[in-house]
Amino acid sequence: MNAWQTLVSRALVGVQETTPASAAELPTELEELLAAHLSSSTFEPLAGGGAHAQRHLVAASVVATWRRAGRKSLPSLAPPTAAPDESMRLLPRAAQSSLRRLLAGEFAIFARAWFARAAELRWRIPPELLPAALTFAGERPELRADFLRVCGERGVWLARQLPYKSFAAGEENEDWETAKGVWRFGYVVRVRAKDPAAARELVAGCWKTEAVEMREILVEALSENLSEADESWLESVLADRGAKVRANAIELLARLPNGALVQRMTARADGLLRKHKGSPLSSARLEVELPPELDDAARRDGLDAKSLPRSRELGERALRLSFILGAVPLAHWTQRLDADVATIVELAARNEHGRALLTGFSIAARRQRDAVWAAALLESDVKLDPNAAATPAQLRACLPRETAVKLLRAGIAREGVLTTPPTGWTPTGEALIEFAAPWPRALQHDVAESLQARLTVGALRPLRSGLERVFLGLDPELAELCLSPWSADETGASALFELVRFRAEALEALESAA
Amino acid sequence: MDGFTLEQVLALAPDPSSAKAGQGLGSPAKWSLLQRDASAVWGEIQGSGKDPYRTQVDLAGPAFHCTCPSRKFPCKHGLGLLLVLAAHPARVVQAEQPPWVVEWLAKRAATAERKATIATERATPSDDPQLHARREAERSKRATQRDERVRDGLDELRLWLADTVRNGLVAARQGGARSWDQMAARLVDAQAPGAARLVRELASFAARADDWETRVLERLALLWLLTESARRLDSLPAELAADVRQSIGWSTSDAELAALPGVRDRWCVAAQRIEDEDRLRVRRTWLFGRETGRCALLLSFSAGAQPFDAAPAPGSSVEAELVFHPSAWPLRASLRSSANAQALTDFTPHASASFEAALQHAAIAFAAQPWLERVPWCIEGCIPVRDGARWLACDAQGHALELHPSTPAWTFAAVSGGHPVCVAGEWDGERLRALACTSEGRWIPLEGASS
Repeated sequence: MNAWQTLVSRALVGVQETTPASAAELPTELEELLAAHLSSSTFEPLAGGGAHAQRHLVAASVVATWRRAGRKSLPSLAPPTAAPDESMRLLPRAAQSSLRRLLAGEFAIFARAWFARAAELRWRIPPELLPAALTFAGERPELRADFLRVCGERGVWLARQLPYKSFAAGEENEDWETAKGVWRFGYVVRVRAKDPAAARELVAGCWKTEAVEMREILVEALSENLSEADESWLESVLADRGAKVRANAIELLARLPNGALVQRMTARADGLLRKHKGSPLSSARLEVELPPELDDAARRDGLDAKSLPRSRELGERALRLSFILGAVPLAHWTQRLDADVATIVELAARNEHGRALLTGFSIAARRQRDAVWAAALLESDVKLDPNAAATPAQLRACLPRETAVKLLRAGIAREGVLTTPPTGWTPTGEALIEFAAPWPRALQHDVAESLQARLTVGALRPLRSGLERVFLGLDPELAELCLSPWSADETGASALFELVRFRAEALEALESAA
Repeated sequence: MDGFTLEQVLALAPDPSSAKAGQGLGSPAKWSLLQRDASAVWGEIQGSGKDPYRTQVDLAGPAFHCTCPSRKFPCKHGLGLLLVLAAHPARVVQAEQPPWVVEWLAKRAATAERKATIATERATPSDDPQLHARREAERSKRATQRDERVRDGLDELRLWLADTVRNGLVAARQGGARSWDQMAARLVDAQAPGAARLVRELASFAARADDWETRVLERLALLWLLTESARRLDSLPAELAADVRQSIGWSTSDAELAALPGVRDRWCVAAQRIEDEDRLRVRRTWLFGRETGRCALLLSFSAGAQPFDAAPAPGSSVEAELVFHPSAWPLRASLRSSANAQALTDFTPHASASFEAALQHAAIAFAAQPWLERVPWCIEGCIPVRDGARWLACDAQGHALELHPSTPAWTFAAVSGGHPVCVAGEWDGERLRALACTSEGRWIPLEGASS
């Protein structure tokens, strides 16, 4: 609007006596109004030479009011396509308030279980909480699958409106070219589930242009539906510059029993590990040689010190032995050493290089998901370096769930969950902390009994973080039962009580009908 | 009423940490007593003291009372109690009021009555002629003094406005906050706090990156208009004169209000916004009258941790009597009485069908009362659309308005889902602040919804 622009630009530099008076291009009525006012008797010019500024202000006040009142709308933009109708029921009131607290960051440890349960019961998050929930799930990859089940049509729709690529936005083929980073990872994972070869092609195609951090995770994305068709490309990755990239590729190649890597490693291992048959005078034992100096082939296969993890317990060559063994199919040993699994493990434990051997076997058991070897290794008492070997939790994950539960129950019966006095957790207790919920009733009862027997007031605070995880595995009533001898204030462990109570109420709220 | 919704209760919290603390007390397990009847809800909760705290809420206000030592208002126990009522109504048992509830409610009723009596007393002449004469003399002396001070202050303001324009806006901006603050302080001394605020806000306009010169000149012009109008107050129509006085900083006295007729209706409490202003917090509550079709604004102020006065909770509808402050465009009102609150599920009867219609209405409002800072807005068929860095609200007729940047636009977008929704908010002549909407038969506040 020209008159206003003139008024503004003149005011910017200052309205002096020399500035020509008034603005042009006002609508006639305003012009007349202004003229009438300025010449009427009610207009009192300011003393001291401010008259021009005064006139300017009078004109500005008329035009400003006129502009404000006469504000017009803007042309509308095309709205986004409307979201499809919802088919799932809206989350009940009480559960909405639990969700708000979770989204605010409270009781973080319970978030995953809440989303899982809400998804099972097929509730839908109310739309006004979706932006916060999307961000929340975006930062916590373990929640994403369940989030996608409770976000409803509106959640996916909203994700597609966002200016960045959200994990919830779903597949959109055209965007592979323009999208970057973690979205590409998710895309590869989804494609790999349906068309493994296509996923590999995608990764191979973008290999040259991606940074090392992306290459590391893109290799990992191919871990589902791994097959021998992937072998030749993975072998080419062994020449990559990134150490972790090569290590991830070796992880995958080691899972292909007929592959070239495995055959190379087996050949190396056969030269290093033999069984010496016993005689009536001496029992059977294993003969172990440590690997020789590195050659190029060994470096390529990731056996050099830089590629291997650091270990405080194993020397360089012993560690190399472990990683060679880690790539050998475990079935090979029962055949070649002509003994069963338990015997081999026992013989290995007795050997002077026992640590290295067992570390190697544990790596192999983890990769090959071998339940028998995992169970045997868990039974053996030898403590292995968690930097190199598979952790007990990883080995337990190889077992069928019932076996794991049985082992845990046996452990509880043997040594309980807490030490006496309750200053810490027993190995079984630590295993429980890692063990994923939901726990079968029998296990829960064992745990609750053991806790009730040993837990004291003084232990609640120091053991809080472990107790939080253990309580998540118990049904709410059992958890409350364990805490029932005390009240929140006297223990100083109010956060623990809060968690147990919040969880109980949140789960109850999810079960409610409306 | 069945109580309040979760969003309504959270809207009552004086600050986010109280809201969070209140949520922590929102589980029935924490309360050793939970009871209610038709007009109030009460409970007992163990705190850090020896005896449990007694908390009660008068549902008609809502008004709160708690025996805990907290100075916040409402305290976290009051919020927690209402949250329990909202989320677990079955656990709050119908019962007779115990003595400590009867006592407090009676005291409230007595105070309200006493205030009303005092107001009418002040309005009617006293029986004792001497006392009455003395009171009158004091009153008129104070009034004359203030008039003089204000007149002097506004004269200074006129000179200052002319100087600012003479030296140029660029120079004023370079001078920084000092230039505005000094004039504002002078106006406060002159007992013209409304004008002082209008001057003070120039600082935030000057600090804007885009369009600052337009905003600044608009405000300077508005102030000029105010000083001009103040000089010829007597020749203005009474309502407009009331607006001028209001903008300068006079407030309508309780006595004056008591003498005005009230407007009874069932009012939708459609939206609310709390803002921080200098050292005060301001709460604006917008009401739409079902039968009369009128809009009303309830304004409340709180300094520091002081409570806001009781006002109907947003997202409810109440039968209330409001008394409108005199104005050329009456919006601001005070609550005389309220009862029978119910949940609000939609406010479509008050909605305009298009922006054009609403803008026409706003044009008349701004023309009638130029110092009106914002008008209430209710429109159906509205969809938020992103346009680069800003958001637009689009209506069903192909028109759009810019949304205020403080609107939680993604929450709005999620609630709308590309479908048209009914929105209530504020229009300031430039941008629209969307405060609440209705969707799927629910009232949803847009601010504080997901925080």
